[in-house]
Amino acid sequence: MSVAHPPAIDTSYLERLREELQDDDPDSGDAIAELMGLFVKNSARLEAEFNEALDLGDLDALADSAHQLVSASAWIGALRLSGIARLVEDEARRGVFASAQTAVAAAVEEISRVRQALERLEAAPR
Amino acid sequence: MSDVGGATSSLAACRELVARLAAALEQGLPEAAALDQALADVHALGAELARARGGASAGVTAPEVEAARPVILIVEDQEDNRVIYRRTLRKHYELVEVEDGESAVEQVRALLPRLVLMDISLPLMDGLEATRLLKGDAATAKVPIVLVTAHAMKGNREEALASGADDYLTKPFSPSGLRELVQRFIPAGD
Repeated sequence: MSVAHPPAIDTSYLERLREELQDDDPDSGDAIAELMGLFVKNSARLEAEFNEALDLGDLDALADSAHQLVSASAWIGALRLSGIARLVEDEARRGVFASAQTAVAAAVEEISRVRQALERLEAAPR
Repeated sequence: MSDVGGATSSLAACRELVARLAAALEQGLPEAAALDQALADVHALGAELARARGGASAGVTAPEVEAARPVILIVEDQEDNRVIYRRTLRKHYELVEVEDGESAVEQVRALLPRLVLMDISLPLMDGLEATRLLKGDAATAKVPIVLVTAHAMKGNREEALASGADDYLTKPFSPSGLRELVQRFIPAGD
């Protein structure tokens, strides 16, 4: 039985954030586009850091990288990914390698979903 | 790191102001007149530098010298979080950004900002340690510090407040919530 995931990006959250940020500085370009660009760049780095930390068995480094992903994903409305990143951080801080590894696999899968969703959002007319 | 450069420029402006003030006092001007003279000199210098560097945003600018807007020190090593701070606050506040706890301690001592928004997880020195240092120093103890973290684990808030922080904020926060928090420490018109 397949499990239906919620949308990778909560677009209503993104729109609220866009309105709040643009309301304050209407001439400074699209803040959400800037955050999305940063996510694409940073998530690739964090994914590589996850794999390296697991290879080395360095759960402190894994927790630190997961911590960054918690907010990086939340800012672009990737709330499910943010929750998974919290799980990775918690398991890594608890020092439980096997469950941290499982959570990382879920995070990597979700990062891929989020990137695809971002590509669709960028391609969609606004 | 242009904003760090901005802080350096502010420091340079402060040093210049002190030097000009000393020179004006040596000329025998009364204190108030000497201060006015020194401010005018540094203001003119800042404008000249900005023109020479090709824009108002470069180097020492009149707003920095005049300190017309309250200074907030942002201590955050993640660019996406800094984007949110900038977009939310730069219209009304002078933002100085640094990326680690050691630089935060240096900048608080140098600038005495009206507020510090500091992440807990930082390179070189974490936000908790930086807060303990600053709150333990009589020269900086009164500078309000809000500690920020992305992951509110049980006990984080208590640990943050025990370090001496004045408040605690969890990411992601709403821009309006951040503005409200800042206004609690820097009331409008203050």
